[in-house]
Amino acid sequence: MTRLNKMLAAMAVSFLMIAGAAFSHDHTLPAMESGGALPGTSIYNLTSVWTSSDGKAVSLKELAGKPVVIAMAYTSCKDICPLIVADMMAIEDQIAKQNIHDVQFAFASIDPEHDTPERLATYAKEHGLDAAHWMLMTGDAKAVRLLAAALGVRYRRVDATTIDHSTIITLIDQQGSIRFRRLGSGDDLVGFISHLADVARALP
Amino acid sequence: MGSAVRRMLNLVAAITGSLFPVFAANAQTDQAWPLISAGAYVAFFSPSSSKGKVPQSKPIVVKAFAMARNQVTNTDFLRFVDQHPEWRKTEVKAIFAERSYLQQWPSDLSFGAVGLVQNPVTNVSYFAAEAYCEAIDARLPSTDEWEYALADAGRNQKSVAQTALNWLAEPNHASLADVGTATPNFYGVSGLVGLIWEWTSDFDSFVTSTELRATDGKDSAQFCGNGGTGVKDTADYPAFMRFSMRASLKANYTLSNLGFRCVRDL
Repeated sequence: MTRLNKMLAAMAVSFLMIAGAAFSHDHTLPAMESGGALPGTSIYNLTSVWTSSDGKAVSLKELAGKPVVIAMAYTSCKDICPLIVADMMAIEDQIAKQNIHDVQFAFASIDPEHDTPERLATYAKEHGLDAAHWMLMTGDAKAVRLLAAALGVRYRRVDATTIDHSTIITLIDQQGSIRFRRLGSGDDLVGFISHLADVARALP
Repeated sequence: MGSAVRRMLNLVAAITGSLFPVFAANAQTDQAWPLISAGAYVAFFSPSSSKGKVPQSKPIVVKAFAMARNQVTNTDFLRFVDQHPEWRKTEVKAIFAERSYLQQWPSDLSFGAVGLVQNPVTNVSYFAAEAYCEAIDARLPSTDEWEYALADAGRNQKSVAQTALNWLAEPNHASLADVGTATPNFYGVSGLVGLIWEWTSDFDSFVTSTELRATDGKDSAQFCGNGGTGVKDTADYPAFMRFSMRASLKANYTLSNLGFRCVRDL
């Protein structure tokens, strides 16, 4: 780089900095909840729009206010997904025995091509998932990618009918921050349930 | 046998590549966004399916796309954070980037020394890289696209591997070189190896082992190269390194030698 170029570059940079300072006040801040800003660690900072099994557009933020137990899977999965859902149902049962009922369960599909809202609805029915506590949702590829990234879920399409993916079940608190993760389907649920109970009993 | 097969596939890739530019006639490609013509390549690692079948190195067909000649620079990224305050270092949400995000920048709207204008921006998380590319109507390359561009239809691969090896052998530099100083490959893309690591859109898709279904379910079990089965060329050390690098990342991670470049669909 010649000296002249460097000087021009320097001028460009100073201009950018001045411009930045001048323009920065024109920008509106990201939308805030009336109840205050979301914590920086909240997954509700993700603004992707999903579609629920009843065909409604939903943002993750609509889950805020309750503890959420969320997993990413897909309905045509024969191997591990039924176990993930079975584990979530077991969590639902056991937490109910502790008289905790206000917990949201969420199933986010990693197979948006095949998991239409109708299919999710059928799946919920077949598995007897209580619509009052369960949200099944599907989104576009980007929504899936970003949520998976935020939850640390790894997935990869192996062939037309198979997607390998992590079996993580995540506990999210009322504001959307991750509080606990159950990594493998073989782990028992005791730790998860005790963390969930703590989160549910804390004042929102 | 492996190398003969590879040579053949490279040839196939070169031929298909040369057949496809027809489709790119009205593409937005130029020197800054060279065309990567369509073709096929064999991924470094073919995951065995969950059913434990023997992995097969099937060639992957890659559609034509345009790839940024260079990595995103400090100057580029400064323009972005100026227009998108939520990505400034003091504004960024913790879920999207760990604390070391842009740590080499002295403040929100300055990357410091003038000499850094053409340095690749580093210490940027996956989320930030995604948002940047989206803001310029582009996207991050998939790992297949990135590796396919590096494979360069089989051209000059010895030298590419050597550049990568040399870079890996060096200790981390106190400072980085400017982007675009390396001679572009035949597509016109510069510095894919030898300067920094680069994010890919599906960096986290490399679930390499069936241990995921094992009872311990620990994260560490996911990061193993599966004993080398399914690997195209076990001598391709830089490819191993890229593979394990990607597998070790999480989307909020930032590293002083990890940046990105964007691609565009045609």
